[in-house]
Amino acid sequence: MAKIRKNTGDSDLIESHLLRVGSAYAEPYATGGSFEATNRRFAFADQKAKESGWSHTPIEEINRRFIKLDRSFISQLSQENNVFSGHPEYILREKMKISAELLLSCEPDVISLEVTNEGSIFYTWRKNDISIYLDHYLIEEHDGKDEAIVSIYKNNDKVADFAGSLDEVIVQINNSLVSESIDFPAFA
Amino acid sequence: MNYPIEILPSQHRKWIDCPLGDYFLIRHFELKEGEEAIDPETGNIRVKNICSPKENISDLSMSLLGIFTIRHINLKLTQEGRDKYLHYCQPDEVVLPPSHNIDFSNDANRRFWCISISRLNGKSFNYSRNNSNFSAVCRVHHTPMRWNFWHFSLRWETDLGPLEEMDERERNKIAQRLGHSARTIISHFARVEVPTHPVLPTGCYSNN
Repeated sequence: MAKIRKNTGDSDLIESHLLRVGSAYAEPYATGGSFEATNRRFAFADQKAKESGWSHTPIEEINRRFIKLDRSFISQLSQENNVFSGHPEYILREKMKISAELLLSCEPDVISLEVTNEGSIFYTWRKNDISIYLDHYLIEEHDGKDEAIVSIYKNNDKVADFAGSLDEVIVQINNSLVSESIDFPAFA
Repeated sequence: MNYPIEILPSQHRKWIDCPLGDYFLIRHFELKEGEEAIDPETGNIRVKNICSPKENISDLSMSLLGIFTIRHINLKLTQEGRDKYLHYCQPDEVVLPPSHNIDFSNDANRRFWCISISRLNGKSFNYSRNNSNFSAVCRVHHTPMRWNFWHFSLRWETDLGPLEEMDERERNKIAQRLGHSARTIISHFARVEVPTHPVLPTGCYSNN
């Protein structure tokens, strides 16, 4: 995370901006507290969540996360009517299901999707120090069905980029991440 | 309200001629009530706040953070102001300051993200599929405009030449890949906070 510029004449603007955009750094500005205090509050919240007794089997966990992605996808689709007009929702959902299940199968630390105005699902996937950004194009496919483009980072260093069908891209990801013990299931 | 003349081109200014690897760019986005700027799962900026509409992705406007500060983010040109001021110009062009409510207004709903130039300039994306290869390199250019001397453009050099010279099918395909590249690199490195940043020395942009 970038260091925050503090003690400038713009602190009032910075504070209102950080609060509005939901930055984790907003609270220290709002309260005059420290970043360390914010981190302690986050750690406390994590601990309380763990103590609450929720536990899942791996399959349940994948299902729970898939449902969350599916709901997010449906919600965003309804806001991008102009991009997907003429494309039945059930087909778009089936396509999403393929890529989402693939990406969930490696039990990422973090996964999220965003529907873009280019007619793709932009996934952000993170595990340990690996970040994968994958565009799965649902419409406007220029090179065949299930077109995808992926970029992989290890920390802040780019590992690789690929374009191709979703299955080709997954194979390439596996080849690139052999040393990281990350292995997505191949297509049947 | 007077327009901040420190961001206008003027007769003593010149093309920025110092290395900019340590500097940052800033770009505004508009956040409607109820919308989130950041994805709570990833902590990254939402893609829709990186660039919209998609046509802008191959030539993304930003400003050099320094003399141009977050106080200037809210400046919004009116249609009349766009007609007069939204044009590239020489750095030493003498420009009459825009007039409040005629040429510009303030948009309090604007927010911003910042990114280090070193994370963008010269970074390449290489996509290969079967025997078809494609590569694009990100370039940050100083592109003064009549409303903003500190205007910069994020552009892409491709090994297939300029986008505008391609046939429509090829152009759409390449634009799709550039869109992915821009989304990825900005999503990974941009932050909604103001970083600790240097301010460009006067000699880098002024003949005085």
